[in-house]
Amino acid sequence: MLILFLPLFLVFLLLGMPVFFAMLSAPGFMLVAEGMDRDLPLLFRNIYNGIDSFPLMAIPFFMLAGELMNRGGITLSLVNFSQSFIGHVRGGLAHVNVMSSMLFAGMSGSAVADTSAIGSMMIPAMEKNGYSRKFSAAITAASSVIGPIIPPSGIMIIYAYTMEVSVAALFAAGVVPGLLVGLGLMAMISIMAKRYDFPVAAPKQTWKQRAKAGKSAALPLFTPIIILGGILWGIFTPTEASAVAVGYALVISLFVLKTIKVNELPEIFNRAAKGSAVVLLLVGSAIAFKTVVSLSHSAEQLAEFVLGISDNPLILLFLINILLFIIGMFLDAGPAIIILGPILAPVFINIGVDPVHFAIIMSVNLTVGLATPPMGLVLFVASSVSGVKVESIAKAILPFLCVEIAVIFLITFFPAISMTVPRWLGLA
Amino acid sequence: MLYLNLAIRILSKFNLACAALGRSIAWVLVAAMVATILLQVFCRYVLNDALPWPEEVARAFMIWMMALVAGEAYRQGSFVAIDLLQHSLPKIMSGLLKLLLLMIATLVLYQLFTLGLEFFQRGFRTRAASFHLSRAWIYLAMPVCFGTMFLVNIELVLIELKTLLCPGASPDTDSQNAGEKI
Repeated sequence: MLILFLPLFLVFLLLGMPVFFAMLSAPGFMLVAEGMDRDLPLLFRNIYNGIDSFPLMAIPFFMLAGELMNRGGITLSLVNFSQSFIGHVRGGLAHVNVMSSMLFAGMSGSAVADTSAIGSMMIPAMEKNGYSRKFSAAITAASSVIGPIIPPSGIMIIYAYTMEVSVAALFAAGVVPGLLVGLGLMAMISIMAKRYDFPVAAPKQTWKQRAKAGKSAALPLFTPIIILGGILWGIFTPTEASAVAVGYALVISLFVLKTIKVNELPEIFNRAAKGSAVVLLLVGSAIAFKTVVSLSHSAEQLAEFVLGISDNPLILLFLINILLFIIGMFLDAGPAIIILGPILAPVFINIGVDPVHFAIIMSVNLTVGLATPPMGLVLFVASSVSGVKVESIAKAILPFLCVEIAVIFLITFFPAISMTVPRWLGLA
Repeated sequence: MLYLNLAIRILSKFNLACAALGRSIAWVLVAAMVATILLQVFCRYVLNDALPWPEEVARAFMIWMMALVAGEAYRQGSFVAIDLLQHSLPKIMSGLLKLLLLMIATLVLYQLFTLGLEFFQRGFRTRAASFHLSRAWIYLAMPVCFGTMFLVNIELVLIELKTLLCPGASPDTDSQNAGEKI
């Protein structure tokens, strides 16, 4: 009977209860109903244990590093750098938008930060260059999902922690899928550029001009090298790398670029604190939820049900992608991973799917969900940055969503796309 | 209605004061977390002599940081929810549903607060592994977190109740930002 906490949880979610409360109230009510009140302190203890974690500390640090980079004006130097290389082709600014997102993704692990940072700069510039505002907002939203795929990635840290997978392995596995999404979007822009005669942004730059743009972007571009190099080569733990990224972003913004004043720091720190408090509470509740999942043996029962449909991993992966995509349309990637990870991952690992591969499928799929209507968070951010209605952006984004869906299926059915880099590095 | 308005005003002022106090400490804790981990990185990789305490201290800072801003984050509607159904229902039905969910949240937060107090008291039996402090002072963050969220939740319940009883009434200045997305 304890397993009834799962349908109860779904009912609470659909009624509109915040995920944090749904994850605690449904198991809590069922434990009381089953006369298992003595397990309530265990649930509480697991919330605390879930939060009291050194690896999880990377989340506030990466959020803070992203805030500092965003406020410190590094977006401009990334855009200039991208434009010097690709601004001269047809659809140049749309390409610049995607390339800037790919570069920004190496510093921030958040699609929302990417949308607001790149969007506030690129959408007006693209409109001035002759693009429609809704197209500019759509390409910004579509490319911002690269943020949590190319490392560092907030959702991968959450997944790694709740599912006990190596953060370094997930980061390494995210590199190629992230690049693939970016290149796929650029290919779609090229096709559209010919068909709709997109404008050219600027004349072709000389290598001297490119070197100049590269020089001003060099310091920010060094951040992903510190983060990824440090983690993948085993110099830092992910948490230490994230703290170093914060220190580096502080030095650049305060003393080198001088784009942030000391008296602005409390507000920036508080924004990161608030954002991460919500995530920490969600992760804590997920660990408590996971306890009840194992107490009720629901993962085993779900596995039996899933294997009843088919025992072919490829068919099951196809079906799970559809399920994840639908869920991603209604729920943010972080909470969705927290809810579904403990339930789905054991089933797929048991049928032979590599834990890192499954983590990447889930992360990329749910991340793309951030840009899908009706509840895609980045659509709302793009709408507030551009002033275009969410419905209009949702229509204009469709060609780019097709590219992202294609990438999801590519990484699902060709594990080498995500697994080669972690295997090279001996992480998987 | 007079008493309801008064209760909302008092709670709003109290919750705002708690949020301001929390903010003024939380950013210092974030800075302290960064400094502690950077110190550890320096000691480990430059001096080749890792300190035993930074990880545990930074974790304690993080837990307190979360506890101090959680109430404000909840008040500003930062807790993710799928609110499609609420938006599609008629106003009164939607209000009643919100009130029901808030009542359930009240129960959950009350339970978490009381369990947090027991947790805090049990903490006096153990000490932090790497520094001389009872773990109770770290565990205290949990009842503080859920206590402030509980008070915010009561404020949200009262605001929802007021909206249901008196649909045309304008919100108080202090409480108008409460539960923006709830």
